[in-house]
Amino acid sequence: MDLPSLDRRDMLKVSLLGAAAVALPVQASLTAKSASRIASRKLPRPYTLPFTKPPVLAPTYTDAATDYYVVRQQAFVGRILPGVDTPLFGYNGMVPGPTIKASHGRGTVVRQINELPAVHPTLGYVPWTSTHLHGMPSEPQFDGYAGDNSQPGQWKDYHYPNNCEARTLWYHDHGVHHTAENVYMGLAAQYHVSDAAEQALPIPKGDYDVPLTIGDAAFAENGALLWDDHSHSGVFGDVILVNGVPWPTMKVARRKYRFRILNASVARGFRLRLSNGQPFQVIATDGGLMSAPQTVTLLTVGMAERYEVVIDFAAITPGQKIQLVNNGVKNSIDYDHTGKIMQFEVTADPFDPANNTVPPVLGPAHPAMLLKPAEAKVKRYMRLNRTNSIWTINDQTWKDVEDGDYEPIFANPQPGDVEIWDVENKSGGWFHPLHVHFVDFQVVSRNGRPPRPEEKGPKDVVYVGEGEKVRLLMRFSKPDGYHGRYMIHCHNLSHEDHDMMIQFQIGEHEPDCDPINAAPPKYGAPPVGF
Amino acid sequence: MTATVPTTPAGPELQDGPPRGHRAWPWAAALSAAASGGLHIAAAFDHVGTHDVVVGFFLLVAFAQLGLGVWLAMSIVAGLRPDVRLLALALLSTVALVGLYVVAHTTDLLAAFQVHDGGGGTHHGGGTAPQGTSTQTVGPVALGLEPVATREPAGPLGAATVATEMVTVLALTALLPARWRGWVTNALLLVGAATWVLWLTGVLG
Repeated sequence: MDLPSLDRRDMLKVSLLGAAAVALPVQASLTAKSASRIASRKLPRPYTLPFTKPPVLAPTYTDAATDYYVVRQQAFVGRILPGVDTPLFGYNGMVPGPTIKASHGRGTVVRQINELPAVHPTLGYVPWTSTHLHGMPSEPQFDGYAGDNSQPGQWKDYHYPNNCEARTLWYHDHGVHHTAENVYMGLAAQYHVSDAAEQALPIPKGDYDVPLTIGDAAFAENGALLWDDHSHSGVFGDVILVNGVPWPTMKVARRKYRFRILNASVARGFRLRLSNGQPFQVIATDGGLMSAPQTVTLLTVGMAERYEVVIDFAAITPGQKIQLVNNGVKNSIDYDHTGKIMQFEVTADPFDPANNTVPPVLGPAHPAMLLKPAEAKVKRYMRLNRTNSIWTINDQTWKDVEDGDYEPIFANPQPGDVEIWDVENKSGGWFHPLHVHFVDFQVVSRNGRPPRPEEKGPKDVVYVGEGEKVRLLMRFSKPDGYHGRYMIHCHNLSHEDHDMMIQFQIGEHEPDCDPINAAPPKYGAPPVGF
Repeated sequence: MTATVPTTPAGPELQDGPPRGHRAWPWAAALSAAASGGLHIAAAFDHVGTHDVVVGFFLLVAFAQLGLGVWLAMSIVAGLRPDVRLLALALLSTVALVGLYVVAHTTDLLAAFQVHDGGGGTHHGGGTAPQGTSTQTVGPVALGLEPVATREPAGPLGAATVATEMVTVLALTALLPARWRGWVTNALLLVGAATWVLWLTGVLG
């Protein structure tokens, strides 16, 4: 009789297939070292592409006191990977957008025209935009308020006073609920304000003053950007971009360079160092120049933070290559090549020896750095948290603000008031770069100890790491200065879009500074002039 | 398609009271096939609203597996030995399904049929998201000019289904005539070895 049976040997033979069938697909999901789905041969090898700088935008019109610019927010097909078409959003059709250079005391008006498609082709949302000039103490109606949205087909003139100290700023989209997608697709660019004090310094200028906008991206099979926000925790790409180029190599002369580092990632933090162990001289932070340069070998840069650093290549032998690398931060997903940023190749080329010094004193301390805790009228506490899968600040979200007809506020300092804010992140699972609009603040302490050396300058974003508590000290405007409502939010843009945002109000809220209604965007063709 | 291998005619062989271990194989085949069918129905529901072809395929497979399970169970209850040609066909089909699963989750060859081709908690799929809400996505989404699908990561449901199907493979092999088993297990050994070789050489992964 032929009975059903299998002996041990038969079982072992079949188990080889069984083990493969169960284990391989699971391991493929768990051990992926790349986020991109595009064929790896289409990704450039790190340090093989040339470095580029975004162009400087020329004003379309100037008058005695103001420069006027036109920026079009456009969907276009660009090339980030060689030979691969990638649909992008960009200011004037480029990623990152063009740099705007402004001077202290001379105003700018930037006309932002939303020419994006009526609906995002794949995500299905309406790509409204609200442009925030990050680092500029603007009036509320020109601050890129979440809710002051320009729909596709609308335009708005943003007025910037440039009444701040010299600094590196950036303009980026802040459209409510879709900032992360829009910035990830390219709506970000640098904006520099210079002033007489900075211009008088012998620090690197001109060709030796270089913007480094660092980001990350992942790519789909067809070259499109790949979006995965990991349940609103953040988007992490496996390709590091510097000024829109994957892991570029920059040729440098044997002298000092000033780099304006901006972390424009949605969610990735960086801990930067040079491969040869050489230090950075940090000369400026978010709010402008430090009073004295700080020397560090490791520089933590959270999303939206800006640091201006000087690197001296004078002692490097021509032909030698140095890499700017990323040691990574906790809770950023690392892939095979996210530890690499860019490369410097030192040349023997002749160079301009002028402005090749970092003086031990860069200037008088920024007003925010002169504040004393004793000046504070109020001390407030802010807890950054995630409860029931919702990102919150003191258990409040932007939805609460919207539901309250934009009335709920976290604080209501009067113009000129000084306050202490203690910000705490009790979680071990994520970090939060907290951005306070309008103000420059001083980081008084981090976990009860002095802040990191690079934080000893004026800031508008503070990296609140896992389990950390930071104390901030700030003055809100000045008597007769700007007043109204401004946002506070986590600059992990996925957190921000999922409502980790609240607001405060300086002085009175009045119709002439209402962030939504005082200067609303308009439909139709914008006028030729301003 | 023609069957060239002589088959064992259906008959009352199991009525003679084979040892308990031998009776277990037919039931294992029937139950695991039915369970795989149930899991495929669950998978179909899991994919509703993402890709009609995938849902249709899962339902087709589910009904075939449920049918196989019922047929095997009826054969056992009736004391009949299942037709060997049908057993062989079921075995071949199940191995093919396992292979499809491995290819789908370790390569991009079948990405066009995978899910996640749109945003939204229930996948917007290129439609218009409600205004005033943030984007809800599950897994990677290509931000192209038109929806693009990507490989779906293997999840617990898929792993459970393929494990159940391997029980079916094992049990169906046991039900084959003794002179077939050696040939079939050798073939399965070769397929398994080839799968690992493909993984080690980077073709799968």
